[in-house]
Amino acid sequence: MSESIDNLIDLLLDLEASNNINKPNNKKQSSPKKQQTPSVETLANPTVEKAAVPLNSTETKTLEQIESNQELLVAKVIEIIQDDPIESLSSAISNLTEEKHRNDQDFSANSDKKAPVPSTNSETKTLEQIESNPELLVAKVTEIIQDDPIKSLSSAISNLTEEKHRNDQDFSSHSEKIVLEDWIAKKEEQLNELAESVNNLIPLMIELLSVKVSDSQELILQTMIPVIDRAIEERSGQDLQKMAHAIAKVLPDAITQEIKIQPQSLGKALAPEMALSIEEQIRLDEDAISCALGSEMGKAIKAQIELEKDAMVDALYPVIGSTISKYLAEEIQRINDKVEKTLSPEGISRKIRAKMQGVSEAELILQESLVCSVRAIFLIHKDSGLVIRDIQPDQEHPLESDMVAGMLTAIRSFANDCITSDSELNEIDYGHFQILLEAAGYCYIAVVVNGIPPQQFRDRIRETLSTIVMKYGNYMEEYEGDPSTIPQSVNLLLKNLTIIETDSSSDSQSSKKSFASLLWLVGILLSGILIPWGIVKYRTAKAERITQEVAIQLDSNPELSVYDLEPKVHKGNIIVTGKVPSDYHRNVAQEIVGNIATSENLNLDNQIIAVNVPPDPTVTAQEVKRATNLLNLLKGVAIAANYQNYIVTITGFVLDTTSTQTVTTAFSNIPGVKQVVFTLETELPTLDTRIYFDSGESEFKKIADSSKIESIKQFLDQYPSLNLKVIGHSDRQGSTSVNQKLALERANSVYKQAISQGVNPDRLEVIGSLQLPPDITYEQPLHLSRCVRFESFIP
Amino acid sequence: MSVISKKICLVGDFSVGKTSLIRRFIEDVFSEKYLTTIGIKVSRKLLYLKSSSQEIDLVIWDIEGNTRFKSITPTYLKGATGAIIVGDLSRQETLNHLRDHINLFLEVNPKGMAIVALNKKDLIEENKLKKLIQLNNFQNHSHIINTIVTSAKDNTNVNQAFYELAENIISK
Repeated sequence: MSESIDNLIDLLLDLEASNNINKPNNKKQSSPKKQQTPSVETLANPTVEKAAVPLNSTETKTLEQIESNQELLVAKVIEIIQDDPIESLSSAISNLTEEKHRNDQDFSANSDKKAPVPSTNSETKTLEQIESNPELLVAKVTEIIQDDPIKSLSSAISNLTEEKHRNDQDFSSHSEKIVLEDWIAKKEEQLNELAESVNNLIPLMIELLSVKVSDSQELILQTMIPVIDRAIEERSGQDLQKMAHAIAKVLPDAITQEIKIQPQSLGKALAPEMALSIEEQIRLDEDAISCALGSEMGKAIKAQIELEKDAMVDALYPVIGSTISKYLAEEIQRINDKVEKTLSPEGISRKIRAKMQGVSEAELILQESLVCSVRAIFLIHKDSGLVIRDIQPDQEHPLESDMVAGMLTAIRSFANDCITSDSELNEIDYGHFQILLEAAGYCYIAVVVNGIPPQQFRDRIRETLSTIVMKYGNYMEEYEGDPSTIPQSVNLLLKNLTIIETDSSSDSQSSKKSFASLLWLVGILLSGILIPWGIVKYRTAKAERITQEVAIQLDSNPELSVYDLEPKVHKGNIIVTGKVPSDYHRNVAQEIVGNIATSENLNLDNQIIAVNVPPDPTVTAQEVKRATNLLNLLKGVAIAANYQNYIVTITGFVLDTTSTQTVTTAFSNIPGVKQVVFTLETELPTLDTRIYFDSGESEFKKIADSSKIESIKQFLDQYPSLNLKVIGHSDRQGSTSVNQKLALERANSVYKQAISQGVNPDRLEVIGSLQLPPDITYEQPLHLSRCVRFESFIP
Repeated sequence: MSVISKKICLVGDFSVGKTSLIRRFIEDVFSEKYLTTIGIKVSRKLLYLKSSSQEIDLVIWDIEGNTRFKSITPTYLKGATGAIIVGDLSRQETLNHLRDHINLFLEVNPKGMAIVALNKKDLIEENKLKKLIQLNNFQNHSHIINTIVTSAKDNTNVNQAFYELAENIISK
């Protein structure tokens, strides 16, 4: 019994050894150091390979034999398995492994290069034996297993161990090298023989199993199923590592296969643990998962958007929505403020700016609302691209000024060379940054701005640059990379640019500015009102003055004064309206007003209408009367006019013939007068009545001469336009003074008498004359000279 | 004493190793990959020159070597105080062009100084090297400071070339 077990153990040991040998490559890779010492494994290597060759040739034979005894073998295996073989098998395997391990160690410790090598001859022998008697082997194995294989196995193993141990001890203590060597050689031989036999058996068994499986799959399954899981469980309980190792190789293939057969099931199986495993992996290596997924993330999101856009929107909405809405809320608040201030000076100025720049007001508001700040200012040498000065308000993340300046210079040069040679690159936009470039002479300014700068900021850059160029142009020209050659004041100039003044900033300067602008606005408004008002005022005053002058001039003209003519000054014209009876009057008026118009640089608009209406007879009568009165003022004219039926009848005296013409035209020009009838006399009538006095007497002789007074009365009544001179005379006797006095007294006494008799005293004029009466001579008697005579005259 | 900035250019045919020399000098790395420089790459390095105890901020313009855009190059050279004219020892035609590059640089910057760097020494056998150096020596040129055999790969004489140029520029 023990011998058979020994054999079995050896057989199994060899089996394992040959298994190891079958994958020498693996061994080599995993532990190359082992190769350095020759071992059983390496030595046995050629053996096994050679053994495999004859095996192939005998295979078919053995197969046939096995086939004939198939059922028997199966039954045996089942039997063994049913007798709780798992424990026994597993423990046997582990024991065997231990044993083998120890043997290997021993062997290598006592390694002798002459150690016997299993020969090919023994192999073939064993093979032949097995071939000739396969049933025997099966029977033997069965027998062993049936005889409580566990106990026997374990005891055999322990025996073996003990024996081995003892052997070792003996060996070390007695150093019986030769004996031991022989023993080992013998053992080795046995081992090898067994190994060969088992080796030969393995393909057989495999074939056997596969044949069985194909023949009666169900049966195999039924027998295997109840034990497989337990076997695995048991084995994993004992040596997890080995189990894992064994399974590991087939796992990927198995999974692939499983996925091929049942694509869904594996997913289902893994699903619950997926999350956990990812979590675990993240715990182990934080970056691995993100690294693995990162590159695909973009594609995944894209695909998801293509598949189901709404879901993606919904998922992102809470995040993006709130961010955007917060941003928008702030912006709208700012815009709102701006709109509320629409009517403020700021708002009005914005309106004007919008008009002037030709952009919408909303755009300006938006521009003002977006905060913009200066990130960096560089003053750069044009040719070399060296930084002359750089100002960076944000000290935490300064830009690499040399590199930026160099690249900007290169870009400028490129643009100048390749695009246009005359124009300049003014601006580079990237994202919400702008680089404003302003070049002059030997340097240029580059301002990196975050946001949209207002238009006036560019003007300020321009101003600053021109100041720098004007004041420090020669320093710029000669700049050779040494910043100490540039005056410090350049810094101040550039620093001023770091503040972008927007209208929203509430510093004092801007409020002052807005106050000033308010004043300006008021000023403009006031002047807008006052200047036109003043002009209008002045024009009206001037017009009024002219109107008055025209009115006076028209009025002072006797021919026109009676007519209602109305002058008016309007838009550089003098307009005269009204009605006159004839074109003559109209022309008169035209002449008068025309003179004024020329002197005042105005145009004349004569709107006077000449109407030939039959004039009012009373008016004409009045006119005639007026003309009569006027003409009567002339010397030698005493006329009376009577107007009736458009005919003027003139009676009276016109002593001068030239005056006759005047009188005639005067009346014929009066409107309404169609005919003038003259009964004029060119000589005054005479009154021949004389009143005589006694010598030296001046008393009126009432009784004799009263009738003569009556004739005076009659004369005056007959010529109402004439008056009478009462002329007294005296004779030539006596002194002149007495005569003078006497003549006047005589005239006075007649005068008094005439008044007393009812003659109008105004029509009489008293004169004393020393002359003789006109028709009296000295030869005639004296009494003829002592008289008062009458002479008519035009008053 | 304040830091003085100076612009220097690397000029030469394409693929002679201008960018590699700069990378070796600034980052102390070398890569076998060939990347064409398109247009310009500007780098800088702060050097301390012991001889004049002066700090110098070297602004290095790596100018593309492509001959197709040769017309652009003069503008990029403007304002440079110094230049490293690079030739590839393994390609004779690049060495033939060295004189053209020197002339172009001096045309734009008549006062400029230059160093000739014969690069890729690592590709040349020792016995051939001597002959090549003899053939391409500009020692007598008034504006050439030195002719230096370099290798960006082996880090041979790279720093020396840059420092020598810097020293010369500053001492002027």
